[in-house]
Amino acid sequence: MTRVPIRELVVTYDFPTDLHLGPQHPGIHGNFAYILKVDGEIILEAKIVPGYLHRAFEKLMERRTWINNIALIPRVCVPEPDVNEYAYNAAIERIAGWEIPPRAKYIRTVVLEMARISSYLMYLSSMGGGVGVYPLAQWSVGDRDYILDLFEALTGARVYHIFMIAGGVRRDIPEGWLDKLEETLKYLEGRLKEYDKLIMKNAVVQRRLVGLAPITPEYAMEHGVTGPNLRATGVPYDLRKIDPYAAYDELDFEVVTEKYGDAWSRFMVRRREIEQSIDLLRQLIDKLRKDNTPHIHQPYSGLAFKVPPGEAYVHIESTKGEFGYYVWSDGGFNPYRVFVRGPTTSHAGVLMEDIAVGQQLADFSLIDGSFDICPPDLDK
Amino acid sequence: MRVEEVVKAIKDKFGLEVENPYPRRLRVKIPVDGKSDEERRQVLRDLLQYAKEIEFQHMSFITCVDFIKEGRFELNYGLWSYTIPTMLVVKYDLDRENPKHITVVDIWKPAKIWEQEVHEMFGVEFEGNPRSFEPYVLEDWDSIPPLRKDFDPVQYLKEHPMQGAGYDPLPYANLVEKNLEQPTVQETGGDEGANS
Repeated sequence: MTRVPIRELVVTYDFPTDLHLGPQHPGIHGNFAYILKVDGEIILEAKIVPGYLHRAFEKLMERRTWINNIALIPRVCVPEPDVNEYAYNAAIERIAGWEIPPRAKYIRTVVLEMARISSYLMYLSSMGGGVGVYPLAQWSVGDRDYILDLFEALTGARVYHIFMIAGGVRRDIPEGWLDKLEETLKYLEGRLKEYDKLIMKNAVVQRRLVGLAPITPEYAMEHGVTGPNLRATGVPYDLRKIDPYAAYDELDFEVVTEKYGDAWSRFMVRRREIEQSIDLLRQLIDKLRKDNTPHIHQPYSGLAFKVPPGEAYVHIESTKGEFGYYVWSDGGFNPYRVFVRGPTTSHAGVLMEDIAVGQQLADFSLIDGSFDICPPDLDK
Repeated sequence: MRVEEVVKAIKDKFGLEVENPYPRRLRVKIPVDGKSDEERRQVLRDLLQYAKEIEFQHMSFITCVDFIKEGRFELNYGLWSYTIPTMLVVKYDLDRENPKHITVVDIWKPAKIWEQEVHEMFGVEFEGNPRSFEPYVLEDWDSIPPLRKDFDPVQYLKEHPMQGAGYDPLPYANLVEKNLEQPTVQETGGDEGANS
């Protein structure tokens, strides 16, 4: 047997070289890829490669009836599907000029806030994996299941709820459900303290996150950054406060901000917003116990449902950023056009391509995770 | 700045009527009225630049609608102000037969990605944005841009059957067209292919 000289086995690279990161990579969240130009460990250029999750939702929506679409749209954002249901139905109501009853507003807000907690727990999980604190990844996904249990009891489904419809919600709150919600909130509040012990006071986590990929408010707004990523730079811009929808104008809350705009600040904003959501849910429980209005505007047939001609844009605060639906109606049984504005389009396509330049390759997936890049709403 | 002041400022500077259909929403349309494309494009760019100066900090989206009966594409530029707070949607009509337009990426950076999407889905060409001519989410697309109203997905499926493990899309395509019930697995023969 002849042996190959070891020198011939060594692969040499010409730097800079192209590195394809994703779509099958544990550091990239979701079916998404980047092409990086790297010189050793330093990233010189980054470019997104979307399309692995493209399912032509906007075209499909033009071919289905208004009510059929409600079963389709939650798939646009997997970790937080309810924002789609809300924005789409609110756009229909705005074109039709419907005012929905207070109880429907409260129930919708409960669903939205529960979805926020569940989405933020997924975020903690992905960040826990990113920094190497795997117990956090497992704990938070485990605790998210308690929220999913509540969703199942309320809507019949765990992930895609298909619960809101034009004019209100499908059904009223079942008996005893609010008590279960209160118990779960109490449990989660206790768990958050455990999380803090595990990760917030962890020296390795702080060394990895503090000062990583910092952005200023001006830079953020220039690059289309919204939501918690923007609030991490210190500006109190929350659509729930400045463009209130659902029942947010009746709730008492302060916008959570952090100062420095780095990965640690982005992490902390989300961690603190879980507490905020728990507080908001408690306020909503009180309101629901006192309220006796119906849960839907008026009964109607989904098959004969039409929306008068018009157009409306509704945007809401999701855990990723500004999530919007622009709906055009020509008065027929189907929408004329529906445009989905997902926060990831500008976060990945504009911000990540810019901020990654000059960073260490080892930090890239942590930066990607800290901005909560979620490809489904980009691919649509 | 207040919403009424924005409406007045745009009217004074550009002579354009601004609609206020819902609270915190403004719409302004750049009319055709006999002007050349170059003049209208300049008005659009000046307006988007001016909006940036009067506290509109965030470009939310650029999107397009195909009004096929009227023979036009309508481009929508959505700008959001956190401080006023309001959304301004600037509407610009394009000839459907010759959808050539100009980029605004030098004014608003997020336009880079939104123009790429509009180019792929509607075929609008944005001069000055080389990125917009690259493929976005579709790979090797060989038909008319898919979000145009004259693109028929069922017809496309018939002409481009999927290559794969015994999956035959044609029974589904025919059923969609005839608006019948879902076929059972045996009828389509989907299982045979999976086993072979």
